[in-house]
Amino acid sequence: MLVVFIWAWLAGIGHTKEFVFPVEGFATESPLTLIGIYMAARWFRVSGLECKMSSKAFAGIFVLGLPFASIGVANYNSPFAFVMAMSLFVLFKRHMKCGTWSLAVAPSLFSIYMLHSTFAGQRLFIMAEDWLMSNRIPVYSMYLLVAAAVFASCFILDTCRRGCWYLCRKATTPKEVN
Amino acid sequence: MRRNAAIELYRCLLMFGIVLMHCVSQGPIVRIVPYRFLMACVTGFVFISGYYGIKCTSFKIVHILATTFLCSAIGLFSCRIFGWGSGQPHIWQYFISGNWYVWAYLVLMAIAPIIDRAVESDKQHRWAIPLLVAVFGWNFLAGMPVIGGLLPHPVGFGSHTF
Repeated sequence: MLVVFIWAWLAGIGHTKEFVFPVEGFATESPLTLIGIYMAARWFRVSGLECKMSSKAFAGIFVLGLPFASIGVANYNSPFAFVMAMSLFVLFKRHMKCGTWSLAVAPSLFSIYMLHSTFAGQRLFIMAEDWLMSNRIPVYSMYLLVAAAVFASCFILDTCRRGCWYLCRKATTPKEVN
Repeated sequence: MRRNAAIELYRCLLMFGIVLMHCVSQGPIVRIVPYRFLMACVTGFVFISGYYGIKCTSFKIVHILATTFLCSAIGLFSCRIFGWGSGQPHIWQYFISGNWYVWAYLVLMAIAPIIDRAVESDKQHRWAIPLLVAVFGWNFLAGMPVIGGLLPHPVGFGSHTF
Protein backbone atom coordinates (compact mmCIF):
# COMPACT_ATOMS: atom_id res chain seq x y z
CA MET A 1 0.00 0.00 0.00
CA LEU A 2 2.80 2.37 0.95
CA VAL A 3 4.67 1.68 -2.31
CA VAL A 4 1.53 2.28 -4.36
CA PHE A 5 0.83 5.55 -2.65
CA ILE A 6 4.42 6.81 -2.92
CA TRP A 7 4.29 5.98 -6.61
CA ALA A 8 0.94 7.73 -6.92
CA TRP A 9 2.27 10.78 -5.06
CA LEU A 10 5.19 11.11 -7.42
CA ALA A 11 2.94 10.56 -10.42
CA GLY A 12 0.58 13.21 -9.09
CA ILE A 13 3.23 15.93 -8.89
CA GLY A 14 3.52 17.85 -12.13
CA HIS A 15 7.31 17.95 -12.27
CA THR A 16 8.03 14.36 -11.25
CA LYS A 17 5.32 12.48 -13.12
CA GLU A 18 7.50 12.15 -16.21
CA PHE A 19 9.99 10.07 -14.24
CA VAL A 20 7.39 7.69 -12.86
CA PHE A 21 5.95 4.75 -14.76
CA PRO A 22 3.50 5.01 -16.47
CA VAL A 23 4.08 8.49 -17.86
CA GLU A 24 0.41 8.93 -18.76
CA GLY A 25 -0.78 7.06 -15.76
CA PHE A 26 -2.20 8.26 -12.52
CA ALA A 27 -2.00 11.89 -13.44
CA THR A 28 -3.79 11.84 -16.78
CA GLU A 29 -7.39 12.86 -17.20
CA SER A 30 -9.72 10.03 -18.04
CA PRO A 31 -13.36 9.23 -17.30
CA LEU A 32 -12.19 6.23 -15.34
CA THR A 33 -10.06 8.31 -12.98
CA LEU A 34 -13.19 8.81 -10.89
CA ILE A 35 -13.34 5.09 -10.13
CA GLY A 36 -10.07 5.28 -8.22
CA ILE A 37 -11.36 8.12 -6.04
CA TYR A 38 -14.65 6.30 -5.43
CA MET A 39 -12.86 3.11 -4.44
CA ALA A 40 -10.48 4.94 -2.09
CA ALA A 41 -13.40 6.77 -0.44
CA ARG A 42 -15.27 3.51 0.03
CA TRP A 43 -12.17 1.95 1.54
CA PHE A 44 -11.77 4.97 3.86
CA ARG A 45 -15.28 4.44 5.23
CA VAL A 46 -15.02 0.68 5.62
CA SER A 47 -11.55 0.75 7.17
CA GLY A 48 -12.79 2.74 10.18
CA LEU A 49 -9.92 5.22 9.87
CA GLU A 50 -12.34 8.07 10.42
CA CYS A 51 -13.19 6.92 13.95
CA LYS A 52 -9.57 6.31 14.88
CA MET A 53 -8.37 9.79 13.97
CA SER A 54 -9.15 13.00 15.82
CA SER A 55 -10.40 16.20 14.25
CA LYS A 56 -7.06 17.84 15.05
CA ALA A 57 -5.30 15.22 12.96
CA PHE A 58 -7.62 15.85 10.01
CA ALA A 59 -7.20 19.63 10.40
CA GLY A 60 -3.43 19.12 10.45
CA ILE A 61 -3.59 17.01 7.28
CA PHE A 62 -5.64 19.71 5.58
CA VAL A 63 -3.36 22.57 6.60
CA LEU A 64 -0.23 20.62 5.64
CA GLY A 65 -1.83 19.62 2.36
CA LEU A 66 -2.63 23.21 1.31
CA PRO A 67 0.80 24.17 -0.09
CA PHE A 68 1.27 20.70 -1.64
CA ALA A 69 -2.16 20.78 -3.28
CA SER A 70 -1.59 24.14 -4.91
CA ILE A 71 1.66 23.02 -6.53
CA GLY A 72 1.32 19.26 -6.65
CA VAL A 73 -2.17 18.42 -7.92
CA ALA A 74 -1.87 17.44 -11.56
CA ASN A 75 -5.30 15.92 -11.86
CA TYR A 76 -8.48 15.01 -10.00
CA ASN A 77 -7.15 11.65 -8.85
CA SER A 78 -3.99 13.07 -7.33
CA PRO A 79 -3.50 11.75 -3.78
CA PHE A 80 -2.99 15.36 -2.62
CA ALA A 81 -6.44 16.28 -3.88
CA PHE A 82 -7.90 13.14 -2.31
CA VAL A 83 -6.37 13.82 1.10
CA MET A 84 -7.56 17.44 1.02
CA ALA A 85 -11.11 16.46 0.07
CA MET A 86 -11.18 13.70 2.68
CA SER A 87 -9.97 15.84 5.60
CA LEU A 88 -12.29 18.72 4.74
CA PHE A 89 -15.24 16.34 4.45
CA VAL A 90 -14.62 14.90 7.91
CA LEU A 91 -14.20 18.36 9.43
CA PHE A 92 -17.47 19.54 7.88
CA LYS A 93 -19.26 16.42 9.02
CA ARG A 94 -18.07 16.71 12.60
CA HIS A 95 -18.04 20.43 13.31
CA MET A 96 -20.03 22.44 10.81
CA LYS A 97 -23.35 23.73 12.08
CA CYS A 98 -25.51 25.10 9.34
CA GLY A 99 -29.11 26.04 8.65
CA THR A 100 -31.34 24.28 6.20
CA TRP A 101 -30.73 26.80 3.40
CA SER A 102 -28.04 24.53 1.98
CA LEU A 103 -30.73 21.86 1.51
CA ALA A 104 -32.57 24.29 -0.78
CA VAL A 105 -29.50 24.89 -2.97
CA ALA A 106 -28.37 21.24 -3.06
CA PRO A 107 -30.90 19.90 -5.63
CA SER A 108 -29.70 22.50 -8.16
CA LEU A 109 -26.00 21.68 -7.91
CA PHE A 110 -25.91 19.22 -10.81
CA SER A 111 -27.78 21.66 -13.06
CA ILE A 112 -25.44 24.48 -12.00
CA TYR A 113 -22.51 22.31 -13.07
CA MET A 114 -24.13 21.48 -16.39
CA LEU A 115 -25.26 25.04 -17.15
CA HIS A 116 -22.01 26.79 -16.32
CA SER A 117 -19.97 24.36 -18.43
CA THR A 118 -21.94 25.05 -21.64
CA PHE A 119 -20.86 27.54 -24.31
CA ALA A 120 -23.28 30.08 -22.88
CA GLY A 121 -21.75 29.64 -19.43
CA GLN A 122 -18.25 30.14 -20.82
CA ARG A 123 -19.45 33.21 -22.66
CA LEU A 124 -20.87 34.58 -19.41
CA PHE A 125 -17.45 34.13 -17.78
CA ILE A 126 -15.72 36.06 -20.54
CA MET A 127 -18.29 38.85 -20.61
CA ALA A 128 -18.23 39.31 -16.86
CA GLU A 129 -14.42 39.26 -16.83
CA ASP A 130 -14.24 41.88 -19.57
CA TRP A 131 -16.65 44.13 -17.71
CA LEU A 132 -14.83 43.77 -14.40
CA MET A 133 -11.40 44.23 -15.99
CA SER A 134 -12.56 47.51 -17.51
CA ASN A 135 -13.48 48.63 -13.97
CA ARG A 136 -9.99 47.74 -12.71
CA ILE A 137 -11.02 45.35 -9.97
CA PRO A 138 -8.16 43.26 -8.48
CA VAL A 139 -7.75 39.94 -10.33
CA TYR A 140 -8.67 37.46 -7.58
CA SER A 141 -11.60 39.55 -6.33
CA MET A 142 -12.74 39.63 -9.94
CA TYR A 143 -12.59 35.84 -10.20
CA LEU A 144 -14.62 35.48 -7.02
CA LEU A 145 -17.22 37.97 -8.23
CA VAL A 146 -17.50 36.34 -11.66
CA ALA A 147 -17.83 32.85 -10.18
CA ALA A 148 -20.47 34.07 -7.70
CA ALA A 149 -22.42 35.79 -10.48
CA VAL A 150 -22.35 32.72 -12.73
CA PHE A 151 -23.25 30.44 -9.81
CA ALA A 152 -26.20 32.67 -8.85
CA SER A 153 -27.49 33.05 -12.41
CA CYS A 154 -27.33 29.28 -13.00
CA PHE A 155 -29.14 28.71 -9.68
CA ILE A 156 -31.90 31.16 -10.61
CA LEU A 157 -32.30 29.53 -14.02
CA ASP A 158 -32.51 26.07 -12.49
CA THR A 159 -34.97 27.24 -9.84
CA CYS A 160 -37.24 28.46 -12.68
CA ARG A 161 -36.85 25.08 -14.39
CA ARG A 162 -37.73 23.21 -11.21
CA GLY A 163 -40.68 25.53 -10.60
CA CYS A 164 -42.03 24.85 -14.11
CA TRP A 165 -41.53 21.13 -13.60
CA TYR A 166 -43.39 21.26 -10.29
CA LEU A 167 -46.32 23.15 -11.84
CA CYS A 168 -46.48 20.69 -14.77
CA ARG A 169 -46.57 17.75 -12.39
CA LYS A 170 -49.22 19.41 -10.26
CA ALA A 171 -51.38 20.14 -13.28
CA THR A 172 -51.11 16.63 -14.71
CA THR A 173 -51.57 14.72 -11.44
CA PRO A 174 -55.26 13.77 -10.99
CA LYS A 175 -56.86 15.15 -7.83
CA GLU A 176 -58.14 12.78 -5.19
CA VAL A 177 -61.88 12.37 -5.14
CA ASN A 178 -63.44 11.77 -1.74
CA MET B 1 -33.07 9.34 3.64
CA ARG B 2 -32.69 12.63 5.50
CA ARG B 3 -29.86 14.77 4.19
CA ASN B 4 -27.14 16.25 6.37
CA ALA B 5 -27.15 20.07 6.05
CA ALA B 6 -23.42 20.32 6.79
CA ILE B 7 -22.54 17.89 3.98
CA GLU B 8 -24.88 19.75 1.62
CA LEU B 9 -23.06 22.98 2.55
CA TYR B 10 -19.77 21.22 1.76
CA ARG B 11 -21.20 20.16 -1.63
CA CYS B 12 -22.34 23.76 -2.32
CA LEU B 13 -18.85 25.04 -1.57
CA LEU B 14 -17.32 22.34 -3.76
CA MET B 15 -19.58 23.35 -6.64
CA PHE B 16 -18.64 27.00 -6.13
CA GLY B 17 -15.01 25.86 -6.23
CA ILE B 18 -15.61 24.07 -9.55
CA VAL B 19 -17.24 27.19 -11.03
CA LEU B 20 -14.28 29.22 -9.74
CA MET B 21 -11.85 26.69 -11.25
CA HIS B 22 -13.45 27.07 -14.67
CA CYS B 23 -13.46 30.84 -14.22
CA VAL B 24 -9.73 30.85 -13.45
CA SER B 25 -9.02 28.70 -16.51
CA GLN B 26 -10.88 31.06 -18.88
CA GLY B 27 -9.20 33.83 -20.81
CA PRO B 28 -5.65 34.30 -22.05
CA ILE B 29 -3.91 33.69 -18.71
CA VAL B 30 -4.61 30.47 -16.82
CA ARG B 31 -3.75 30.83 -13.12
CA ILE B 32 -2.06 27.49 -12.57
CA VAL B 33 -1.71 27.54 -8.77
CA PRO B 34 -5.38 28.27 -7.89
CA TYR B 35 -6.49 26.05 -10.77
CA ARG B 36 -4.60 23.06 -9.39
CA PHE B 37 -5.75 23.77 -5.87
CA LEU B 38 -9.38 23.96 -6.97
CA MET B 39 -9.13 20.64 -8.78
CA ALA B 40 -9.63 19.03 -5.37
CA CYS B 41 -13.27 20.16 -5.54
CA VAL B 42 -14.03 17.56 -8.24
CA THR B 43 -12.28 14.97 -6.09
CA GLY B 44 -14.45 16.06 -3.16
CA PHE B 45 -17.62 15.39 -5.10
CA VAL B 46 -16.52 11.89 -6.05
CA PHE B 47 -15.32 11.32 -2.50
CA ILE B 48 -18.83 12.01 -1.15
CA SER B 49 -20.26 9.57 -3.72
CA GLY B 50 -17.77 6.95 -2.61
CA TYR B 51 -18.32 7.56 1.09
CA TYR B 52 -22.10 7.20 0.93
CA GLY B 53 -22.18 4.89 -2.08
CA ILE B 54 -24.09 5.24 -5.34
CA LYS B 55 -27.33 3.40 -5.93
CA CYS B 56 -27.88 2.62 -9.59
CA THR B 57 -31.56 3.07 -10.46
CA SER B 58 -33.20 3.57 -13.82
CA PHE B 59 -34.92 6.74 -12.56
CA LYS B 60 -31.58 8.22 -11.54
CA ILE B 61 -30.02 7.46 -14.94
CA VAL B 62 -32.97 8.97 -16.82
CA HIS B 63 -32.93 12.02 -14.53
CA ILE B 64 -29.20 12.61 -15.10
CA LEU B 65 -29.48 12.19 -18.88
CA ALA B 66 -32.59 14.38 -19.10
CA THR B 67 -31.00 17.16 -17.02
CA THR B 68 -27.81 16.96 -19.09
CA PHE B 69 -29.73 17.16 -22.34
CA LEU B 70 -31.89 20.02 -21.13
CA CYS B 71 -28.92 22.03 -19.84
CA SER B 72 -26.97 21.43 -23.07
CA ALA B 73 -30.03 22.58 -25.04
CA ILE B 74 -30.44 25.71 -22.88
CA GLY B 75 -26.74 26.52 -23.33
CA LEU B 76 -26.77 26.11 -27.10
CA PHE B 77 -30.14 27.85 -27.46
CA SER B 78 -28.91 30.92 -25.56
CA CYS B 79 -25.81 31.00 -27.75
CA ARG B 80 -27.98 31.00 -30.88
CA ILE B 81 -30.32 33.69 -29.51
CA PHE B 82 -27.55 36.06 -28.43
CA GLY B 83 -25.32 35.21 -31.39
CA TRP B 84 -22.39 34.13 -29.22
CA GLY B 85 -19.70 32.35 -31.18
CA SER B 86 -20.06 30.42 -34.42
CA GLY B 87 -19.55 26.87 -35.64
CA GLN B 88 -21.01 25.28 -32.52
CA PRO B 89 -21.63 21.55 -32.63
CA HIS B 90 -25.02 19.96 -33.07
CA ILE B 91 -26.97 19.36 -29.86
CA TRP B 92 -26.38 15.59 -30.01
CA GLN B 93 -22.65 16.00 -30.62
CA TYR B 94 -22.44 18.37 -27.69
CA PHE B 95 -24.58 16.08 -25.55
CA ILE B 96 -22.24 13.14 -26.18
CA SER B 97 -18.81 14.77 -26.27
CA GLY B 98 -19.22 17.92 -24.19
CA ASN B 99 -20.00 16.35 -20.82
CA TRP B 100 -17.18 14.01 -19.84
CA TYR B 101 -18.10 14.11 -16.16
CA VAL B 102 -21.63 12.81 -16.81
CA TRP B 103 -20.38 9.81 -18.78
CA ALA B 104 -17.71 9.13 -16.19
CA TYR B 105 -20.34 9.25 -13.46
CA LEU B 106 -22.62 6.87 -15.36
CA VAL B 107 -19.74 4.40 -15.83
CA LEU B 108 -19.04 4.75 -12.10
CA MET B 109 -22.71 4.20 -11.30
CA ALA B 110 -22.70 0.96 -13.26
CA ILE B 111 -19.54 -0.32 -11.56
CA ALA B 112 -20.33 0.98 -8.05
CA PRO B 113 -22.21 -2.14 -6.78
CA ILE B 114 -19.25 -4.35 -7.75
CA ILE B 115 -16.78 -2.02 -6.02
CA ASP B 116 -18.98 -1.82 -2.91
CA ARG B 117 -19.22 -5.59 -2.69
CA ALA B 118 -15.47 -6.01 -3.19
CA VAL B 119 -14.55 -3.44 -0.54
CA GLU B 120 -17.10 -4.54 2.04
CA SER B 121 -16.91 -8.30 1.54
CA ASP B 122 -13.93 -9.77 3.39
CA LYS B 123 -10.89 -8.41 5.12
CA GLN B 124 -8.54 -10.91 3.48
CA HIS B 125 -8.58 -9.22 0.10
CA ARG B 126 -8.70 -5.64 1.29
CA TRP B 127 -4.98 -5.27 0.64
CA ALA B 128 -5.78 -5.27 -3.09
CA ILE B 129 -7.86 -2.08 -2.90
CA PRO B 130 -4.97 0.45 -3.14
CA LEU B 131 -3.66 -1.58 -6.09
CA LEU B 132 -7.03 -1.41 -7.79
CA VAL B 133 -7.17 2.32 -7.04
CA ALA B 134 -3.89 2.70 -8.91
CA VAL B 135 -5.06 0.51 -11.78
CA PHE B 136 -8.31 2.39 -12.24
CA GLY B 137 -6.44 5.67 -12.13
CA TRP B 138 -4.74 4.55 -15.30
CA ASN B 139 -5.75 6.27 -18.50
CA PHE B 140 -7.48 3.46 -20.34
CA LEU B 141 -7.56 5.43 -23.55
CA ALA B 142 -3.76 5.50 -23.73
CA GLY B 143 -3.02 2.29 -21.90
CA MET B 144 -5.70 -0.01 -23.26
CA PRO B 145 -7.01 1.23 -26.61
CA VAL B 146 -9.62 -1.54 -26.94
CA ILE B 147 -11.35 -0.77 -23.65
CA GLY B 148 -10.76 2.96 -24.11
CA GLY B 149 -12.45 2.82 -27.50
CA LEU B 150 -15.56 1.34 -25.96
CA LEU B 151 -16.03 4.27 -23.62
CA PRO B 152 -18.58 6.92 -24.55
CA HIS B 153 -16.19 9.82 -24.09
CA PRO B 154 -13.78 8.88 -26.92
CA VAL B 155 -16.73 7.82 -29.07
CA GLY B 156 -18.30 11.23 -28.60
CA PHE B 157 -14.96 12.93 -29.18
CA GLY B 158 -14.54 10.93 -32.40
CA SER B 159 -18.04 11.79 -33.61
CA HIS B 160 -17.35 15.46 -32.90
CA THR B 161 -13.96 15.44 -34.66
CA PHE B 162 -15.01 13.55 -37.80
